[in-house]
Amino acid sequence: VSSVTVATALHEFRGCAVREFSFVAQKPGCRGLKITTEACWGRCHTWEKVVASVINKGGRGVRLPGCRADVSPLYHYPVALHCHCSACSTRDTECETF
Amino acid sequence: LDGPALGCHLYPFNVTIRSDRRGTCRGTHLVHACVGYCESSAFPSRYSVLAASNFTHNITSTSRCCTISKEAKVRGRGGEREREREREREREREREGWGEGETYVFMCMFASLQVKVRLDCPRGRHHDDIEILTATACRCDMCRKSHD
Repeated sequence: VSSVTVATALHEFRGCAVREFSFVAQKPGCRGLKITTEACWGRCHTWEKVVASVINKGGRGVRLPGCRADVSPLYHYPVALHCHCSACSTRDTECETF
Repeated sequence: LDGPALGCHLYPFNVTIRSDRRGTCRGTHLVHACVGYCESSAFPSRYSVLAASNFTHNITSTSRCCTISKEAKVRGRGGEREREREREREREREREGWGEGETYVFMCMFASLQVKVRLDCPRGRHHDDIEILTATACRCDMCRKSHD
């Protein structure tokens, strides 16, 4: 497991690594907030039916802007600390294909 | 990195077909499967996913699998529909996506072919040829439990 840098030649990378990821945190009653965090990305050997998975995660919280008085502005999201090619765990993960 | 080439490729192997459990008649044929590396990722779930899972699925995992496809299109020469799908995926990645560097998705092309396996039988016996499937090209595509 390693962090992927541009110098690693992304198009040649195999395995699963922590990588910078941006998304818009949203929930009903608040405005969205763009967040940049760490997630897992890679290319796993699909013969073994494994995917890039978060093995260790932390958590962060932010305050969303413009929330209604009856809506809590707190928004928590996971941060990937350690990634690996493994089976998708439906215990805490929404497993999808695209 | 050492090991299989990047992407989703044909993998040759010999398959032995038997007419019955005792192997009275048998034949061997070289066929191909699709084996390789396809893109996947795991990232914070959207609020709609959090709510639908009662806030237990705070991570979403998306993946593609190395599969046998029935389409015969080739990336770069493919139809307008395939190019539009790829453009939409690129726009999606730009809106909520990855940091520096280029997201690389490798797609091989794939079709399947039926081949006839001739079974060799002991003297005086005969068995019809058996048709089996072999891959002729591969593709990183939706993961499925079985193929039709």
